[in-house]
Amino acid sequence: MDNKKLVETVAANLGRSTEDVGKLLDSLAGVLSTRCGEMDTVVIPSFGAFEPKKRNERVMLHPSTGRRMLVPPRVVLSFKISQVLKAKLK
Amino acid sequence: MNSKITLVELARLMAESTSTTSRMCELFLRELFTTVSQALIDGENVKIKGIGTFKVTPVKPRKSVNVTTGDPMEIKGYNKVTFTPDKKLAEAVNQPFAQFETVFINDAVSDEKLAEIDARYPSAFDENKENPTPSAPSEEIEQNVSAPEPEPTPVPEPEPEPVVEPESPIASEPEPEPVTDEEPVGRRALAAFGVPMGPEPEPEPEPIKPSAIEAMKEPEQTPVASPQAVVPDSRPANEPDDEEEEDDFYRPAPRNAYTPTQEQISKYHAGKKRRWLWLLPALLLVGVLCWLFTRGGGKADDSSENVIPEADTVVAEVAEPAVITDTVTTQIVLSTLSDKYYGSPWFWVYIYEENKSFINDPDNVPPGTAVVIPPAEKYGIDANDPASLKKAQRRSWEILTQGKR
Repeated sequence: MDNKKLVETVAANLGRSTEDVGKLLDSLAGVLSTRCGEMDTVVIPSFGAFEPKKRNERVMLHPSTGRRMLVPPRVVLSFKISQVLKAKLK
Repeated sequence: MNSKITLVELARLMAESTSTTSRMCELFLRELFTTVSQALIDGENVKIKGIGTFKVTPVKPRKSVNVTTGDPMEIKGYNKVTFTPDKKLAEAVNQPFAQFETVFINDAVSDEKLAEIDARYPSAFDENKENPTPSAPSEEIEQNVSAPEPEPTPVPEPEPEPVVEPESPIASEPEPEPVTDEEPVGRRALAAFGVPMGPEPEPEPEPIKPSAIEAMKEPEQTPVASPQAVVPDSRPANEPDDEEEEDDFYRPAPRNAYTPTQEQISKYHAGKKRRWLWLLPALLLVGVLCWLFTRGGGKADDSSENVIPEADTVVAEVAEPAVITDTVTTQIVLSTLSDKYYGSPWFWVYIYEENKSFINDPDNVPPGTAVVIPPAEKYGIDANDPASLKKAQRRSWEILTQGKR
């Protein structure tokens, strides 16, 4: 399901225009990026949690040349699925 | 920071950034995620613009062992959801580390070194770690000098030099070293000073073997770090207590002023590294003189004391009537004081003689001991006179060997 189809489905279920839903989706993305950028976890009940995690720097080998590289630390946005959805997926 | 944002809160935040109510936003969120969930349950991948992609990947059933009973069992297959954040979102989250890039590590850097850096990281800004580079010379030192580095005596200074520092085995501070060394430590100290052996060491050829000198060659560069570190506690007791800085200027100056001959100096600085060290006291001397002149009056004595050595007359300094005392530290030992006051480290023997009453081992004077510096005439000290030097060397040999035999 791509973005367009998702927006259409949600718009139909809510009885609103796709533009409105598109805007809401944009604002959701904006809020997610600002809050997760501040290391806050966003929890969606019965779906999952968007949790920023810090990855430490590490030394790894270049896959082809075998040279050692120092990979800098970074913050990744991880998604942890809720048990409810996990159970339904089985 | 590190707080959890619930759906209600998320809806409120969204409502703030759009022209809709939070109620509407909440409804939208619930609908959105139900739809996404349903699509995932149907086995579909979902891509949401600006957020990312949810992918369903089937995990095959695999065999395992029951941990408690040991029976073989099978873990059922299931569908796993993986989330890949949208590029924009990932960049926004990684904002604090955005400026870093993956770098190749130079081949010269060993894993041990990296581990060392890791271990050292918390204290990386410790002032004592200023010069971690001379690791190679320090290893050499340890091989050449026979196990001198453990400094058993607790140093009662505010800032004790860390024992592990490459500087510590250096002969410039021999006292705290164990006396059990095969060679008299004092001799090594003297050798480290690179002092010319006088005209001829005929009566005692052994005192400084070429090997001993060789061994000390590397350590010579080490006192580099010392002048600044030493200054605070080495202030002579009888000096008027002026502002700290003035004293700092005052202190190292005489050391340079009384250095006797060019020959000695040049031998003393076998290592190029040391040259700047001698520029420093010279500059300091100039500073002190300027300061003394501007100050005028009260310090007349001192200024004369400083000016005269410029004319290379070493004896003038001792003409001062007041008793000169100085303090031994980890950095400043008897030979250092001798070099400072008489122009040659060999005359430490006379400082020792003068203070015999409370110095048990001249090689191991406890730091903090205040010693009286005898006037030069008392023992006929003259760094420019080879006979005087030779006499001092002979005396030092006697003193150093009497305890060992």
